Amino acid sequence: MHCSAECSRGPRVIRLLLLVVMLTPTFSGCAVAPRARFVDEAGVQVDVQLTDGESLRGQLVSMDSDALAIEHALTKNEYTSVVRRGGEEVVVVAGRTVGPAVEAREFDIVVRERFRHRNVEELRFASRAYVGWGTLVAVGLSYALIKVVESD
Amino acid sequence: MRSSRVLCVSALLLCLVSWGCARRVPAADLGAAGAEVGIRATMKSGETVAGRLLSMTGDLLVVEAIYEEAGGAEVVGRGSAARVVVDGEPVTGIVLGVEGARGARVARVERELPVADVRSATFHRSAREASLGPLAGLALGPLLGSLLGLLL
Repeated sequence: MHCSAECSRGPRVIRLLLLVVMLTPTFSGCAVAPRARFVDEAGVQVDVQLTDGESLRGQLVSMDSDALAIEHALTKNEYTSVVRRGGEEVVVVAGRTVGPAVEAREFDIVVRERFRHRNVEELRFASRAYVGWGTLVAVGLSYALIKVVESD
Repeated sequence: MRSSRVLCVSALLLCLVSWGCARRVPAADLGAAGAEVGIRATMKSGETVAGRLLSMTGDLLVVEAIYEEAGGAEVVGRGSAARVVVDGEPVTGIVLGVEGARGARVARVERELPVADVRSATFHRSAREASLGPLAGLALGPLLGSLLGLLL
């Protein structure tokens, strides 16, 4: 009996799912292997809502009794500049000093800005952030690869 | 039959993606939500407190502080009557639990730290999430793309 392409896909899909089911405990084991409960490097992704209505997303690095230090990206435009003051590079936006520059990228600049506790309306921490843009790229590439293999 | 298979796999893909998507947890509810955020704080008194951040507002930090006998802390007593002594000074807070054998015991103490008394503090991501994130992204992307390529 001739088997169509559709019925030959079923076993392949099942084999793939079985592979994932077997690999997931392995990955989970790797994930719990670290001796330390928390990573040494500081920085947790947060969403900040300020009392003036502004909101931003960044990395909460540190705090003191006055303010939170959050690293976030500022888009490069004609109002944004980086100047050198006191031996370090500082980001200035429309004449206002924002904070020390952490990283200059092609389209934006990562700056560490201090936000006073009284100016923070709400703070939310990101947890279990596993899926990102890289995952979407991998989905597209894998889909294209499967199509190329099937066409050959 | 093909449409029902596509529906089943689509539901599975949706579950996988939802599992990998980040949760945004309010800073005041970290402990109740089960979010793992580490904190290492140096107080103005010179004391260092490290552990899991349970709650954070503009006025107060609630921390599940970790004290290890191997690190110099002294754990006196057992169960709910246990006390933790560091450098001869008893640690204030609620003892949540004591684990391990004598000489290597680890005590967890819930402590309330006024923000005004914090000299500096850093925030750290869960080691489990940090290691599982790249693995999950690595597995989910090709899996989703492959399944879509096989089914469509």
